[in-house]
Amino acid sequence: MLILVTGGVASGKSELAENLAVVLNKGKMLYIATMQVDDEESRLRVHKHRQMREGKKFETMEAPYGLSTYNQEYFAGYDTALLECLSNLIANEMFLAGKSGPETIEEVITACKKLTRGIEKLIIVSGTILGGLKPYDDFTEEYIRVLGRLNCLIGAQADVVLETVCGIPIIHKGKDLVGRELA
Amino acid sequence: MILIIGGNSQGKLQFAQEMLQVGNEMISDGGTCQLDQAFAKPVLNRLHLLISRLKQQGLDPYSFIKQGIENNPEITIICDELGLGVVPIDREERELQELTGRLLCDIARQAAQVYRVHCSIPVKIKG
Repeated sequence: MLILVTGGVASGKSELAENLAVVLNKGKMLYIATMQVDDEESRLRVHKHRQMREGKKFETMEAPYGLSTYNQEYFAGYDTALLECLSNLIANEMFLAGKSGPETIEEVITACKKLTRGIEKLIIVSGTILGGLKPYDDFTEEYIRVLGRLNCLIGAQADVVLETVCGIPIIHKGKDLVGRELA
Repeated sequence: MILIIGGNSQGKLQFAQEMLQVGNEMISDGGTCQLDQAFAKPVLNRLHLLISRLKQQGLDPYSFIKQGIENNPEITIICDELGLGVVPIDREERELQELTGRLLCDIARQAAQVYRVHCSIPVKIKG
């Protein structure tokens, strides 16, 4: 089962996705962390997220980019995995690994295929950028396009698509699969 | 308490006025009101601007707003969903986006009803 959890900044998507993973899980759980820690702000964020995950029994794997290059064995033996989060992963692929937009899309789709092959339930957390009037630089504009495109590609394949709004889950797809778990 | 959220210029205020049957005199504007009057009327509009102003004045928006709601449990709060935009480069703006999102999660938890207005259409997402 593939679940996409989207939402704006600080809309409660991580907490929702983690709780959902715990409820659905029937074996070992993998947490794929994508944040590159390089300053105090990111350290604090990672710390906050670790605290939130405490006691939830995730095994953590850190993969800021290049997730598709991992050996398939890395993803074997898990019932549930949580990828946190796609917006970070895309930013890292583009800004740290220097991939183009199309390369990033291909990389992420390949990684997702690898993950779903080995793992029963994959939950992907992603951001929503619904634009604004501000014209951004070309790099940021391309980032927004890639994020939107990947959200669409993954959303189309997903069994469940959720959006969090102020901590409230809105089920856009797959109500019969998670409606009870989220109630 | 009722929370009304959505992107900017989606018709949140108009929806609130129609639903509650209130005129402009019943609405405080978080962008311009006196800080101690923010919760004095039945409707508080533009909460995100109030948060920004409190922050600029060195006050703690979290406790200020929590207190305001506690003292006025029947209030209707309207706020832009800042989290739908790009994460700003400027640190202050980034903190404001984060803080507003967290506060909205908190307020939504307390609210009896939450509406999200999109292109003038209100969708009740809680209550």
